[in-house]
Amino acid sequence: MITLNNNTAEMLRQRSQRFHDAVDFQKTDRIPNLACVVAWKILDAGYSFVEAFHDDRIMERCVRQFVERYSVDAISDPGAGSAYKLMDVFGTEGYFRAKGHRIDVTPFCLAEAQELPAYLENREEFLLRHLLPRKIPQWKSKTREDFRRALEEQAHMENYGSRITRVLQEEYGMPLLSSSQWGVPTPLIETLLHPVRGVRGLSCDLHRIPEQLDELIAAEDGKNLRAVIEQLDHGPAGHDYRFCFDLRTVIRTSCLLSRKQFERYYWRSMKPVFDACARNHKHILVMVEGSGAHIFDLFRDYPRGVITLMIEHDDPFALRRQLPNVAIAGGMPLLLLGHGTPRECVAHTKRLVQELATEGGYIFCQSNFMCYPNDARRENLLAVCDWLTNGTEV
Amino acid sequence: MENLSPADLTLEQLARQLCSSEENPEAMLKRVRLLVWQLANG
Repeated sequence: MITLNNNTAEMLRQRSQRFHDAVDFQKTDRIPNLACVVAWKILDAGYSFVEAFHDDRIMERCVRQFVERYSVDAISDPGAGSAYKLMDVFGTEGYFRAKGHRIDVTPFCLAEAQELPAYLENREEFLLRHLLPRKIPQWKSKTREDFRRALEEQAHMENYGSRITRVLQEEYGMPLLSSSQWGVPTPLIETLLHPVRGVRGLSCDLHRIPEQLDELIAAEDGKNLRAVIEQLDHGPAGHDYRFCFDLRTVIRTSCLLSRKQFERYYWRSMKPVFDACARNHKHILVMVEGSGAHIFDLFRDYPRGVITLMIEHDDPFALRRQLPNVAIAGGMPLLLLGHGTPRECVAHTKRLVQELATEGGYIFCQSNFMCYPNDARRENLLAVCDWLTNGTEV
Repeated sequence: MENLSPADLTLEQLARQLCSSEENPEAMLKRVRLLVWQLANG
């Protein structure tokens, strides 16, 4: 139950409204400021990755310090997604491995192409019987006690998620990125890329078994994404003003798929979801990892007030010219935030606002998730946030 | 502590093994399903 005091409740509503108005190309009092921050907030608070990932109280402290220090409207990651302690129980580090101020990524290919039908037949059973034994060392020697401890860690993770949500919304009046009501619609091709087949495995499948991929995707997405569409068509109207967006999705496959492949394996599945968002006036954040320049024009026919493209490597100014109908989130390079001066950072921020937000439709954020020490300098981020909030010149 | 040899158990068998008398078996199955996903994605 939400027990906001009047000021915090009003701040929560204002911040959320600022995002929704920007997506609708409505005039806002100022540009919404979304901090794309993941692990950098840990370093900025004076802790190491390992310390924060393994202790919820430290992670909460890092989140609190970040939102108290920088005048942002929302943060992309409140630190609730870390499964480190869960993986610890099973004696493995998993996908991400944190060492001091470094995070390494271990790519996985957890199922062979010939196993895909069995995986789709019963996903959890397949994961338990085939995938986890390959991923977790000495799986067969795990005991009931190991599983009990894992379930305890799972409960801790859920508690942290609820707690940090309350902290952000009720103490700081800060909306979360998107509502869990609609979930994060994900087509099968994205799940095949991670974690099922990996980049190498999926690349082979695209050339060796293209027709089988068609069949699997049609069967799976037809069933799973239809449920999302029905929820959108029959769920509550309007926006929930505890969130910046109604729902979100992530596109990673644009880095791997040609335009033709993207239309065949991704767009055919997801276009009905985007159409349902348009039909029901829902705001969807589309987070495009890497580059998506070759697929962006697929969004050209949606009316304003539906799609927000959150971009990484793509040129935001070219995208604004190409798609005057979509809202854009991004544009602040980490190279500049990490190595430039406050004056240079504010100058670039001004250019982003002046060129991208002439009619609304722009949300300020970093062009990549801030993770590492050199991704930003504190004085640069402070200067940018000050200018966005108060118009303070440096 | 007995070894479960989880690779030899179905999801439902594993959930049953982990469920104490005070816990709801359906809720436990749901938690184990989630656990499997978290371990796969983690």
